[in-house]
Amino acid sequence: MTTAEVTVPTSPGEAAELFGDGVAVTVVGGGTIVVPLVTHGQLHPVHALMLHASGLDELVDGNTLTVGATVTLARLAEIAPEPLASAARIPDIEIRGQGTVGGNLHTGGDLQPALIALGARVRSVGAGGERIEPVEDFLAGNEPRLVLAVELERPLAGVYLEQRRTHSRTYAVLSVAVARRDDGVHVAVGGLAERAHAVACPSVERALAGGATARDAAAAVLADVAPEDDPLASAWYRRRVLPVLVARALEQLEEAR
Amino acid sequence: MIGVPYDTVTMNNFDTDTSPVSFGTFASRGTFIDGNAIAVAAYRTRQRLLEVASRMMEVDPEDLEIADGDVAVLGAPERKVSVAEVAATASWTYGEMIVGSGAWMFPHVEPDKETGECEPHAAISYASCVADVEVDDETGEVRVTKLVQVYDVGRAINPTLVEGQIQGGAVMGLGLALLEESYPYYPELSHRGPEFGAYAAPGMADLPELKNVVLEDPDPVGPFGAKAVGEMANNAQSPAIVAAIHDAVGVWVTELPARPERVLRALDESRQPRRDGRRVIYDEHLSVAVVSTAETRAEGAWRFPLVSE
Amino acid sequence: MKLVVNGKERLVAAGPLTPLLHVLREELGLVGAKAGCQHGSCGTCTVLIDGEPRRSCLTPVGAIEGASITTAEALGDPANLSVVQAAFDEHYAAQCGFCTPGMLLAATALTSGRARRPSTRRSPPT
Repeated sequence: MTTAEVTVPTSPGEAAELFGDGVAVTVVGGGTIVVPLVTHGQLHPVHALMLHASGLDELVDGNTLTVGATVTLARLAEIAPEPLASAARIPDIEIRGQGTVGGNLHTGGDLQPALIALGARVRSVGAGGERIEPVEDFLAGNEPRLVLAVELERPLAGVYLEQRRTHSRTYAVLSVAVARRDDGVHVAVGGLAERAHAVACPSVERALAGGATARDAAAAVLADVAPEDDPLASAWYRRRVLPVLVARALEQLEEAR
Repeated sequence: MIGVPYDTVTMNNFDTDTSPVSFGTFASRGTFIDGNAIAVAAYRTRQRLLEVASRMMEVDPEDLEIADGDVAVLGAPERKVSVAEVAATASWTYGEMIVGSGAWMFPHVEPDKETGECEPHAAISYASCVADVEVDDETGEVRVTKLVQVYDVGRAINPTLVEGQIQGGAVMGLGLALLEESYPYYPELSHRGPEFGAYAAPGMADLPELKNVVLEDPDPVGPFGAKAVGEMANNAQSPAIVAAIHDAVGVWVTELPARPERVLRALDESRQPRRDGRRVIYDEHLSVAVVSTAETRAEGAWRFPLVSE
Repeated sequence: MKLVVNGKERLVAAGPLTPLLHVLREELGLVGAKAGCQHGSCGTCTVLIDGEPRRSCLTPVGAIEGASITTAEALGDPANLSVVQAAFDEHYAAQCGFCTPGMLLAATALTSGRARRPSTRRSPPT
């Protein structure tokens, strides 16, 4: 099957040490991402770091919600605020019980727009040591990092909307997360292309802060995104419908006052 | 047909290495053709049974009847032997077997030399479908809320299977109408999508309310009047759904699946059909008149004539 | 490593990254779980792990050492069908039957009351 050398750290410290600078290391959280890639011959791990015993599954629900990297989406869905709770419930029940928050921060994860809208921070280790940074910066980075935890505060309100190619499958064509925080409304979108990560929408946020209506502010989202064609939807479609979804999310957020 | 109780009959799934010849199951005619072949075999089995019983009971075969697993004398039901006894007698007393085999083929047809009329198909079944949909005219998403299917299958030999076929066909038809394709750059394999879920086949969460009505207008040639309900089960949904979309938002989608992008583009173009003599053209690009001209045929756009020169 | 499969302790030789599906079928001869998409989408590989439905094609066996696994083989036998199996039988719920074991286990988990209560709204409205 695979000739990877597998290590199983039993503490966060050991996990960080074994990860090192992450070069040639394949991190296995729940396995929902790595295992099929190996099965289908698309990934040939050299060193596999399995995190199921690493103690990175702590969940602390205080003023700041601290979610360890290997907390499952199912556990997260039980206590997370919107828009994160809805995002965590997107995958099938079987996947939710196995997939981890850390894994979801890789390409295409449903949690990403929600975490960005919530102003979440990612604590990670890798080359250069441990650091904490806004989730959108983490997503935009391109060096290997081991996620330790995600931190966020509960917003005043949040809405998550998603459009899927069929209602039965969990492949998002577009996803939108909005959150009302103390400093205003925050917007993030995802699903823009096959391997793209979610992005924040500062143009929409600026328009809202300037007093624009939901519909008018939503139209500004096209300045923040670069949608592509993929088997699920075309760029044309994404550019056309994303402002509609953003507008609806903002309208629902208004109603949630 | 033989006269034995239903639950005394066993069906064996043969090995094709040892079973009699069959051409295969095509054209949704399995029940129709195989059913008739089985009926012939059952009839012959019955005749053999009666032959043996008549020897045993010293009664003319015409004066015997088989019911409920017993062979009895007409008018004197107390004079009877069980089918099992007849079979045992055949083997152990007469040294014979009771076997019936049958074959059936729909007869060849010759078209009338003058008019071209003929009946190349037997047992045409009929299907209709009514679809209720909701269309989101900002996102183009179509949600089918109800599918009513009415099928005339001649005779539902196994009603559970007939309903199962209709239900399954409805879902497949919904997939064809709204979801399934290998775009955006079909037939380029690189854009087929990397995995199972990227080919949008419908699942449980896509199911509308399903209502089936099975009509039985028996066919004179089919076994017990049965016709067919095979491949046709997923045909009627697409036109019904497209017509329902038109009813909802006033435009025709002219390519399947009616994915959200196509619905939006149709709305943008306010596409309405155009009359040209007896033809109604829904899509200038795809109309028969365009694609059957000599030019497009020369390019290999179509492989067979749609309109004669 | 050790797994408890259908109530029995089994020792498994496969490497820790090996999918549970492969271990069940190749090492333990339990072929009820099937290899379909092997991406987690189709559900034909579904088994119960500590009573919860999981995709065995995605589960690296090293992560579930000591866990209790239930496959379709343990639900019942022809003389003694489980409630869910009997319902499937009565309503003719199988066609080719390839993915029926996965469906049986998912349905068993759902009706056992042990599976986590699914959210009432499956997909967020658009």
